[in-house]
Amino acid sequence: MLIPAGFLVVLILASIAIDMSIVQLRQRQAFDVASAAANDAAGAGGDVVRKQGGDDFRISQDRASRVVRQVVAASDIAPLVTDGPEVTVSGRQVEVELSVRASYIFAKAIPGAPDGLTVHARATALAAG
Amino acid sequence: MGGNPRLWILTTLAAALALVVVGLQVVPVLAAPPPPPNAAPVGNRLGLVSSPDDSTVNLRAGITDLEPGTGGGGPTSTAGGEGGPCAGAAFVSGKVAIPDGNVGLGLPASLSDADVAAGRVSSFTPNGYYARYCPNGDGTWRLDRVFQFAPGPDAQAAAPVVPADVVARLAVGQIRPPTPRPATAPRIGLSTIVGISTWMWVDTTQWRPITRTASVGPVGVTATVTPATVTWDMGEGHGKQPAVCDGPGRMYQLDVPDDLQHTDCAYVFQWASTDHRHDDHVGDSYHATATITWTVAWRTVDGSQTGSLADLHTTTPFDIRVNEIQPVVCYDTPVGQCDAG
Repeated sequence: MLIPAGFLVVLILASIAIDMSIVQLRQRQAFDVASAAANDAAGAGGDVVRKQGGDDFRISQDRASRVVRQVVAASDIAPLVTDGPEVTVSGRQVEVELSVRASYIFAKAIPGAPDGLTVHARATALAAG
Repeated sequence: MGGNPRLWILTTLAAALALVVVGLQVVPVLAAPPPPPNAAPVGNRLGLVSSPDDSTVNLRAGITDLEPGTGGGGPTSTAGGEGGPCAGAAFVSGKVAIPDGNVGLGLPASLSDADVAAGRVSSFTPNGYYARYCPNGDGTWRLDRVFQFAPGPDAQAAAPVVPADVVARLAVGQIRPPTPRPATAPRIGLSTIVGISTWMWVDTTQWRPITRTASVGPVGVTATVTPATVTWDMGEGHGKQPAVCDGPGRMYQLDVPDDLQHTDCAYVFQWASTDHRHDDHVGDSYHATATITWTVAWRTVDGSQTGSLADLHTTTPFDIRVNEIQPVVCYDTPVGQCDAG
């Protein structure tokens, strides 16, 4: 009797671990995409117009948003993005924030249990130099 | 006719003698044929000599080039005169009276050596009347010609003709094409960034042809230098070729959106000037130059000849600093709080 009970406990713990790993994976992916988008936005989102005019270098909101959208759309988690990406520009810094839905594998089989979790990621890049 | 016949005869003889004397003085002058209506003046450096017969008074070589005379230091001529040669001729200023429109000359038909030495002239005065005396060889001189001296243009035939291209070089030598006044966006003095299009242009007021004319003798040449290209050597090295722009370039308009303006004269840096990993330069700036190439064309004033000469170049050096943007990512950090340090 103890062996089946123990097996069941192990199975439940394993399913929980797998669902949590999924959440962790999505969290890491969300961070990666956000940081990559911010990095590209800082590098390619420079306000060339102002720079040509001699003003201090700064990041263009339009250019940065465009770059971020392209990066997120090209990522593997693009279908999972539920909110954002939101792009905030301040001088030489650009912040990218997005939300990704992490769907459970085993927990959804439990009646009444949530079928997933939304993770948030935020990354800020500075155009140094 | 009454009276004393003897007195009448004496009076008649005296009158006849007077006529003979006057005639002897005037006949040589009157014997000279009238000047041809279209007698061409003879040019020389001193002036023109109009004469009944050009062959008799030849000053073509100029007064200083004539053979030395026999009666002093005055002008002489080797040309032959009417009735025989007139070697060693002397010129004497004539006293001219024009009563009733008729020219009268107070020039004796014959002069002695002393008279010639005292009266000969060493130079001609414009519009002055002169007589040429030829030596008889016995200490006397006979009146040969009377003429009026008229100044004329400098002789040109003797001047060497300078080739037009040589004159063109003189004209080009008068031209000082301006050195370019370069400008960039971002401005020189600020720093530009790798990866962006750095606009370049020169002052458009300098972009115009310059013309000068030079003349040597009869040859006049107009030379024109025209700006053709601007060569921008941005000093980046690494084997990158300079940018060559066919015009002055387009000035960046601050009030025009970036996507609504365009230039064909731009440069994209690939390496920061502060990056010394590829040491092709010294310091933290690239040492750039802007060079205008001027084409040189010339044409003679009369349009008979045209040509071109070697291009001219004017160069202005300037330094330009190039930075590069390096993104630094700060995880889970609000915007404004990301610190690269």
